[in-house]
Amino acid sequence: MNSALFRVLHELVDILEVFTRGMNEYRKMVGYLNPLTVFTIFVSMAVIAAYSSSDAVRIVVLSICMAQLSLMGSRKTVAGIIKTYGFIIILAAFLGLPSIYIYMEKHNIIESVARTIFISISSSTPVAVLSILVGIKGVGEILLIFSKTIGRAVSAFSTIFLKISRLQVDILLMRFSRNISSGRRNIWRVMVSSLGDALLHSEYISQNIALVIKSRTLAEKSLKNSYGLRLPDYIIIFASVLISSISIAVWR
Amino acid sequence: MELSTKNLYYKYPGASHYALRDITYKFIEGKTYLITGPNGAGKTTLLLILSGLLKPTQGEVLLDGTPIHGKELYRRFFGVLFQNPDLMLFNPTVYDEIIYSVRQICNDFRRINEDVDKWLNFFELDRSILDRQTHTLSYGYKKIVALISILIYEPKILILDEPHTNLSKKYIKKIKDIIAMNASKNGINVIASHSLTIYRDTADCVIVLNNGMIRKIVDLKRNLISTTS
Ligand SMILES: Nc1ncnc2c1ncn2[C@@H]1O[C@H](COP(=O)(O)OP(=O)(O)OP(=O)(O)O)[C@@H](O)[C@H]1O
Ligand SMILES: [Mg+2]
Repeated sequence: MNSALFRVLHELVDILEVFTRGMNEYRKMVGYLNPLTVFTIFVSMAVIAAYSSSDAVRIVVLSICMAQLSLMGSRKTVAGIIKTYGFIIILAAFLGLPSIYIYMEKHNIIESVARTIFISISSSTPVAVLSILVGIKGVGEILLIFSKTIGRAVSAFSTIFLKISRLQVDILLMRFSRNISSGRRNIWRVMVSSLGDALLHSEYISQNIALVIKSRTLAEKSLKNSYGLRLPDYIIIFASVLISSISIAVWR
Repeated sequence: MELSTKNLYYKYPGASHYALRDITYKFIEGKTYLITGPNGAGKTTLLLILSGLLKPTQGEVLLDGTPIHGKELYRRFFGVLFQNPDLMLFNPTVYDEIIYSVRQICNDFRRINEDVDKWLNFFELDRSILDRQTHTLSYGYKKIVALISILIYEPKILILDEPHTNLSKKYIKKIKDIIAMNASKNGINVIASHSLTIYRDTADCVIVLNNGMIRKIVDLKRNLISTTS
């Protein structure tokens, strides 16, 4: 078993960690802004990008998102994010392809493909950036406002998912250490058995972690007690809702 | 304060036999209980039920007469150290891990940080550990960090599953000090362990489990032995 593969695996888990936990720098900022406020900002940007007909507005939205990312991330996390984000963009573009038909009559095909990609990217970017900033876990915390069950499920999922991925890498390492010769057959055996066990392990681990989370949750974080909305929050929420409604109404 | 169970039964979902059968017992404040027995006897299961995390199939766990299962209010009374500390830790850094629970009930960060320092001193740990990522810690340190994350919110009932395993002598001594401290403050300690010798001087009472049933109860302080068949 070569060490390069393990480097790749560990790096992958590190990227996963950024995605599930969000960025450190962002978490420090939560002291000043309520997550609900941040959520409103990004969702309004998504709404603007999706419904406005002005491309200039979309470019502004995209650059705000990019600026956010580059301001917050350390070089290592940004590199990881850009790699992963490239992947998301390709997916978004791919998903956007069928909507070619919508524009078919008005423009020529190349232009319409480019447009669809541009629109789908610019309207999906704000939410993608939001999840990178606050992490899946943070998204779960925000969702708690709307639905307790969904919010809890999302945060627990992010915790369990990360833990299982880390353990999986360790399990692979331990199992490979038991191969004395590096025949291809042995490598396959380890791979296949770890995959099968991953399912069993993940059941055990998720049961346990669910109990741990329960035992360590003394009081559920609610927006009322731990992050109260303050004056700046109200102003920003109001402003972003206002701007998005104006932009939809005026820049059509 | 009194933690009691009456005719408690527990079966894991999907299992064919009961992991615990007919457990009736009273845990009294200021005392330390050692639950012992062979592998698979049901020690861990009993601790999880006592702390209100698992719902008994039959029977109830009562704290001063009130059922505790599913009530978040009672969580802060219990400090549960799981058998596998690795699964207990899920925050990015040691500092986040330690303050995870206490932060939910206390907003005074100055006080929290003082307590963090107090416990680091107690375990003779350097402050630099606070910035380490939890998954890079050794097994023993994971256990200590998990323990500090519980102790910091000062639970009255300590539920410790195999607390001393894989720890060096120095830390075993400190864990015993914590147990003694909690008992002297009128808390309740419930420890599950294979080792009787380690806890002989700390425990007031030994409960021997086998096959999910209480087989023997030994009152170490009064040298009373009661056997159930
Ligand atoms: N998640 C589970 N699902 C089904 N059965 C379980 C589960 N966990 C434990 N058991 C079963 O319950 C019984 C009691 O297990 P428990 O873990 O409480 O034993 P223990 O006394 O803590 O053992 P050890 O000394 O090995 O830690 C065992 O028969 C075990 O197989
Ligand atoms: Mg056990």
